[in-house]
Amino acid sequence: MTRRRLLSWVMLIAVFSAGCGVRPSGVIRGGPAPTGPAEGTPLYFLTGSSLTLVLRPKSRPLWPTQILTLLQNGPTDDERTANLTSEVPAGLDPVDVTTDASGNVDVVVSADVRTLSTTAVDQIVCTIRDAMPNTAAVTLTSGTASRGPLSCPLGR
Amino acid sequence: MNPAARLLGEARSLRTRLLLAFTLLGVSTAVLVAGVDYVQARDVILQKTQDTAVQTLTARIETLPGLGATPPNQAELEEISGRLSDRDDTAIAVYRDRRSAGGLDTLPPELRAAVREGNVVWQRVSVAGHPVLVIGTQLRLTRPGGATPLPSGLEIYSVRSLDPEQLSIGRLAARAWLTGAVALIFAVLLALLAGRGVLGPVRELRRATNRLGKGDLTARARVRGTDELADVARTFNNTAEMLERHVGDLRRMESEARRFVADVSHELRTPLAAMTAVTDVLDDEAQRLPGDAGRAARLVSEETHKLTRLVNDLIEVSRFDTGTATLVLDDVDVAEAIRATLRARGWSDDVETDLPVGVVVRLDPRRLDMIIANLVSNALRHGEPPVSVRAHGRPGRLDIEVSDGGPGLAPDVLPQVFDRFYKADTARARSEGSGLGLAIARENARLHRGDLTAANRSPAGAAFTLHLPRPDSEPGDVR
Repeated sequence: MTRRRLLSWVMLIAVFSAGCGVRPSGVIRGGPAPTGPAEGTPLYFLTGSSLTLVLRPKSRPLWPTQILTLLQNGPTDDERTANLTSEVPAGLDPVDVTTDASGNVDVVVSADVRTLSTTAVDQIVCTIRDAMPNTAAVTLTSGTASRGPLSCPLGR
Repeated sequence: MNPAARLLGEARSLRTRLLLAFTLLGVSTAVLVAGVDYVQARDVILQKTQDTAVQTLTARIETLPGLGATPPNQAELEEISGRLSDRDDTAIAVYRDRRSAGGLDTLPPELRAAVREGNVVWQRVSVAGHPVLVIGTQLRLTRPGGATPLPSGLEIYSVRSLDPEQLSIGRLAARAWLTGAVALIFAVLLALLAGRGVLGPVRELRRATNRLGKGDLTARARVRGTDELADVARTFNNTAEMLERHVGDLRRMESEARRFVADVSHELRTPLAAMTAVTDVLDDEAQRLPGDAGRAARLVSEETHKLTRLVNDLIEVSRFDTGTATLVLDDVDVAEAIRATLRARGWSDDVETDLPVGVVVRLDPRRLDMIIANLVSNALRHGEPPVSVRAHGRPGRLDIEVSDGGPGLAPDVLPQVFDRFYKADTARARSEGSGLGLAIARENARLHRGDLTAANRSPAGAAFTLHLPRPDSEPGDVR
C-alpha cells in the first residue's frame, strides 16, 4: 500500500516536472533545404565510390572540352585533403563535344572508352550534363567504339 | 483504493472530509485547466520561435552569393558563418570535417544525420543546463532548366539560445501556480462555508441527542430548511416525542401502582392494629385452649404478626418509592451504635465484632440500626457461625461488613439478592422475613448516599458490606 502510494506520487511529480520548462526534443523535420546558385564550374569527383559535386572557381566561360580536361587533371591538393578522388584516367584527352537539336551530346575522347570504369563514365557524363544546358543523353566515343547514350545517376 | 479515497476514509470529522473533498476538487480542476493552458501556451511559444528562426535562416541562406568553389577553405566557411549570424543566432558552416568556429562545440549527431536527408531539421538540446535550438540544413545548388537541386556538400547550422522563451514560459508556470493557489484558497473558503451549513444542523442534532441520552426527554432539535438534515431532525423530534409520551405513560402507571400499594398498606394498618390487639389476648388464652383450637389460635397470632411486619415493610418501601423517606441525622459513634443493636436483639453472644473505637459518623441511627439488624439477622438465619461484624474506617468513607461462615450465595443469586420479594431458596417458600428486608436495607444505605453490596468470601461465606460516606473525615482518621 505504502509502496503503491509512493509510486503514484513519484509518477505525479514526474508528470509535473516533464511538463515544465523547455525540454530537449528529438529531431524535427521541416521543408526541403534551401537552394542557392552555383558560381563555379561543377565537376564530379568521388568520395569513396559515390559521386560528389565540386565547384571550381570560374574566371571566364570554359568549353566543355576544357571542363573535361579539368576533370581529367583530377582533384587539387585541397580537394584531396577532403578525401576526393577520381577514376578518370589522365590519358582521356577529350577531342570534341557536340550536341544535336534534341539534346543528345556526343563526347569524343582519345582514350578507349571500353577501358573506362563505370564510375569514371558516370563522372564524365555528370560533368558534361552540368556543363551543357538541356542535355538529354551523353554518348562516349573513341574511334569506332562508343558507350551510351548514358545519363547521370545524380539529380535526374 | 487510491490515496485520495483512503485519505477521505481516514478523515474522521465531517469538516475535514468536506475540506479535503473541496480542496481536491478545486485544486485538481485548477491544475487541469492551468496545466492544459500552460502546456498549450508553452508549445505555441516554442513552435513560433522555432518556425521564425527556421524561416529567417532559410531566407538568409537563399540570399547568399553564389557558391564559387567547393570544398570551401576555412576562411570561406568563416565568411559564410559571419554572413548568416546575427545577435541572436550563431551560424556554423560545415563542409565534411571542416567547420567554422563558434556556436556549439559538438553538433548533435542525430541532427547531422538528419540534415543529410535533404530537409531543414531542428532540435532543442540542453547545453550546460540552458535550452538551445539548433537548426541544420544543407545548401543545395540550383541547376539550370529547373532540374532537381543537388547538395553542395555545405551544411549550415544555426544555434539560438531559448533562454528568453524559457523565461516567459517560467512566467506562465508561475501564473499557473498562482492560479492553483488562488483556487486552493477559494476551495478552502467554500469548504468552510459549506461545512458551516452542514455542520450547524449536525451539531444541533448531536446536542439534542446528547440531552436525550442523558435523560432529558424534552430535548428537541431545531428544524431548519427542507433538506435531508432537516428530515433527520424532524425524525429525531418525532422519536423524542414518542419516547417522552411512552416514558410519561410508564411513569404514571408506575406511580399509580406504587400509590396503590401505599394506599393498600395504609388501609390494612388500621384493621391490623385491631387484629394485633386481639391476638395479644388470643396468645394469653392459647395456653389454656385445648388441642386444635390452641394451635389455631397460635397460628392466627403468628400470621398476624407476620402480616403486620409485611405491611410495615411495604409502607417503608413505598416511602422510599415516593421519595418521602427522610434522614434524621445525628453524630453517631458507629461502634457504640452497632453494639447497641446487637445487645437490643440479644445477639451479642452469637456475633463477633471488630469495631474501631471512636469513629463518629453523621447518620440516621434508626436506619443504621435497621440495616445492621437486617444483615445480622439474615446471617444468623441463613448462614452459619461464625457471624461477624467488622467496621473499617477509610479516608472519605466507612465500610461495615457483616459476614458469616455459611455456604455463601450462589453466583446466579448474587445480582438479584437485593430485589424485592426475591427468595434465594425457592423451596423455602415461606420464610421468617417479608422478602423486603435487603431491599429496604439498600434503600436506607442509598438514602445516606452510600451503598450496600453483596459478595462471597473465600473460602466460604457471604459478606454484605455497607459503604457509608464520611465527607468530613480526615485522611489520618483511619483505624
